[in-house]
Amino acid sequence: MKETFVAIAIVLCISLFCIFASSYTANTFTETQIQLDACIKSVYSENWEKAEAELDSIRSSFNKHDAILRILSNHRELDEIERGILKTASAIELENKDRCINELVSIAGIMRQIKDLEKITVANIL
Amino acid sequence: MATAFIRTIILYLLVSTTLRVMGKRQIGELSSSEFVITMLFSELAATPMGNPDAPLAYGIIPVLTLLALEILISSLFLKSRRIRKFAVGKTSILIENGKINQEEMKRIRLTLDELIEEIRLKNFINISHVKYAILESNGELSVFPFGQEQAPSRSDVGKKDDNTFLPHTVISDGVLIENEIERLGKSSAEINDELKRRGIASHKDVFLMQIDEQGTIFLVPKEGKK
Repeated sequence: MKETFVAIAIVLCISLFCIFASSYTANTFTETQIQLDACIKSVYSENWEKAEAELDSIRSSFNKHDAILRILSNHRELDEIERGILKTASAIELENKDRCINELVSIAGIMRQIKDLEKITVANIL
Repeated sequence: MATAFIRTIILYLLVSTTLRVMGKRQIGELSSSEFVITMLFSELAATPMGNPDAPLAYGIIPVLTLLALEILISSLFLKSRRIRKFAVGKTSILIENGKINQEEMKRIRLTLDELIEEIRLKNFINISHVKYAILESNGELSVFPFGQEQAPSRSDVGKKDDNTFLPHTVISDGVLIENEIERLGKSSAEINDELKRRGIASHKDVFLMQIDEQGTIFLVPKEGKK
């Protein structure tokens, strides 16, 4: 009987961990997505100083969550986001609008992909 | 590199502990569900071990889930005979009162050659000597011969004395095993006295010493020492 309770406790812990993983990823990336949108808007209007500030806040917010995200998500995708942020930084410095938009959109795409994969849906399960 | 090393240690400890919690059975005695789970463990643990991009949780969570399922299912087995029968399978009587059950052999897809081979492996040269042959749920064949084919026991030949005594290892590779000595109702000093009587200075010079419940001593000194 004791073992059964341990098993039920394990199942409950795993379920709670999965719910935490899903909501943490969703919240983090939704928050970053808003910052990305703001950054894209600044790049469109060629306000480079504001875009740089927005990118800094994206970077610091991503770095803040990086350790936990690495426990929950595939490291390769997180590395791609990091690389994308670095490329955007250099594109902002060069004031290259097209490259900036391109990188920011691809970062947003990877984030959306990670967020979608963590969702508990029939499509993801199957 | 260091990450792979630490991950391997964590996963090794996790899988070993999990298998230990599952029970002490040997691979050959695993039921089909236990065998499947054991195979899955190795696969699941190997993925994050060799792939540094995958989070460790991708290995830990499936292993813990399987452990929990295994415990829950075995609890169900204890409660329901029907579920146990469904998951583990039932025993098959292949020879009953000396008669081969051909229907059952067909059902479990066992050929006559395989049956004869298994019976030979149980040291019976002739299938006609077998009264019962039962295929257990773990895949092992139990064979029971007719009475006249059975080896006589000591009581059959009028010997009623019981001369089977469990030997206790009191010294293993120079180390005194205190709980075994206590079980025999002796002390370390008595063991050392016994060694001195036999010309051995210390228990450190003994490779193996066993004493059975009747007091019979089996002693192997360490090589190159007296």
